[in-house]
Amino acid sequence: MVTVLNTSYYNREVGGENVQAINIAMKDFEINVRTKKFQIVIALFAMISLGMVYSSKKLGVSASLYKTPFQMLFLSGFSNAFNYSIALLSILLGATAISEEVEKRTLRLVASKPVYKDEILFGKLLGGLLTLSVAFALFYILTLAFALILGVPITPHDLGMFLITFPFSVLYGLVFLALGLLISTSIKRSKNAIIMAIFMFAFFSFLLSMIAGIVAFAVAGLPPIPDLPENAANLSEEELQEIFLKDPGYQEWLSEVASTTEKILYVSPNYHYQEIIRMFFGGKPQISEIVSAFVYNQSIVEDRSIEESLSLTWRNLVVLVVMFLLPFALAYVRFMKADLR
Amino acid sequence: MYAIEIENLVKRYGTFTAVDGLTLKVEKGIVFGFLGPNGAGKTTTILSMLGLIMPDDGIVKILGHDVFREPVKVKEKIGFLPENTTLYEELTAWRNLDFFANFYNFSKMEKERRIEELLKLVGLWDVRYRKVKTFSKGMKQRLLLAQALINDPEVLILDEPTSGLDPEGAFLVKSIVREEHKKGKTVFFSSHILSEVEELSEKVGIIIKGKLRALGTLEEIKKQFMELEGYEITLETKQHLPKIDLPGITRVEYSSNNKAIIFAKEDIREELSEYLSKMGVTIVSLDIEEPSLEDVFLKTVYKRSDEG
Repeated sequence: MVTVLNTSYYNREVGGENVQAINIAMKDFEINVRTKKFQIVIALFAMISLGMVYSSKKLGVSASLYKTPFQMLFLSGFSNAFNYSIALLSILLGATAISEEVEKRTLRLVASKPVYKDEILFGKLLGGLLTLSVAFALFYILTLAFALILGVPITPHDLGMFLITFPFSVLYGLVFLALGLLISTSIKRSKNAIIMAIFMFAFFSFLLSMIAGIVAFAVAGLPPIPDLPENAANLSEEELQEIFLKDPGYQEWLSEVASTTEKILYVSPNYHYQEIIRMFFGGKPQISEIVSAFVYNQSIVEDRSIEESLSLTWRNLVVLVVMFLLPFALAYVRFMKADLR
Repeated sequence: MYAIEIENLVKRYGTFTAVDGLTLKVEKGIVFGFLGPNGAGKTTTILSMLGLIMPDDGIVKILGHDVFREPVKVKEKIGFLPENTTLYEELTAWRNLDFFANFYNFSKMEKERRIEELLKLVGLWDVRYRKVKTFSKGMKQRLLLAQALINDPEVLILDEPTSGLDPEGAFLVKSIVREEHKKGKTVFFSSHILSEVEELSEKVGIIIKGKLRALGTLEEIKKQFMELEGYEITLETKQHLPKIDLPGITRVEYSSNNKAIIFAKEDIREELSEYLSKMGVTIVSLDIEEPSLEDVFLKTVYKRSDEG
């Protein structure tokens, strides 16, 4: 026997627009943090942050190049792992956001509720943003915690700069999230969307750098050979390297290679994020300055205020904002036009 | 005002026409059975009714609101149970309903009471904090039904609601349909299970290859079918049956001396009665064999398939 429900007290007005998107975002967040991919990435973040801090402790600071351990952490290759992890987590979150719900047909269930289509997409974006923010916050907290535990000194300036990069890390994550959403609205099957997402990640993180390197060498041609001393055959590799680096012709060639590489990498969000991190941690802005610093064993960092860092990175920030808006706008158009079958 | 009005609905996927000029009106407060074989266009029609897919042509109105112009107004008043759908498996039964309830402007207390009532109604109250991924198919289907009822909808749209359910689950679904009907709600459900449609529906539509082939009450559909296919009249007399020669008769099958089945283009029982009486033959019984919905459905399907 079925009980008759008492429904007289239900208010039939639906919630506001923002409320619907937030409802979807909260649900997505709850599901995202329970997924294996999220848990794996968090474990990865923990390992990266521990690895970064431990290496910095073990290797010590290269006093001639960097001023503090944190500068070394974020200006050396250590931070690449974090950079890649942000990109991978973000693009995977985006790529599965719609396609998985289409595949499981839960999207048609949501779309049958009093919600506009664009609210669904904004809800997905917000849910992704919330998930990424929590993941990155965990990375930041873990890095600081490991530094404290392992006795790696953190100066107040380092701490300030480290925390200031948080919103930029989130913005960088948003670029890949939007790219993922575009994939998700374009490819119906979630497995194919994941494959495409991994390809896009690999393209921006690795392939583009390789392509840029090859093109730069092709453009710059072979490096000029400096005048070598008669006893060149007896010189060590380091001594030979120093001769090359001190040669103005070779320096010019090196700068041209770096400049061409940079031009190509301009389409890569990874490059812009790396530049922002570099500037905030005091990295010298010009390639020639860095080359020169290496040649003469000088510091590759300089003291810089937040305002100065911002003035050096605003172009990168604008490009990242555009890189977020463009795929999101395309995803929006695709989603609005699509049938929610 | 009708609960559902569909006018000349057309939906194509590439060169394939899933729904081909469908026109249908469903009165308020009735249970409407939407019958059709797999791939007939039932789900496409339903998704168009919800505004989830954009048709190539046609108008769909629910309770007077155009679903494509006023989607939110329509969705406020409907509940939808999709076919072959799962819920959020990582969330509990309670959290799933909580998520769907959040789309409506319930107060916290109202929402919790509604969720509790529905979970009890579908027999999932005791497992409310279990993740949906641990549920059986039947339990998931019952939870899906609960989400369809969360806003106490005026129009309930169910796509193959008993598909994959055990007899107990199917009974529950049917009970809920009857209960909603008693409350004056409109229930539109698609099914390929004829007995279910026959049992629950006051009005039936048969869709084949995207076209509506029959529409009306069960009686009307059967009458339409008989008018189209011919009448089957069984006759038993006291005396030997004479040779029957009346206009409209297509065939007579004699099963014994005084029994026959007469196939006619129309209901000729009166004419037959007069004819036999003039010949001095006493009629013991003279009945029309009503086709079952199954006969109507199968013949309609096969006929339309032959037509291509």
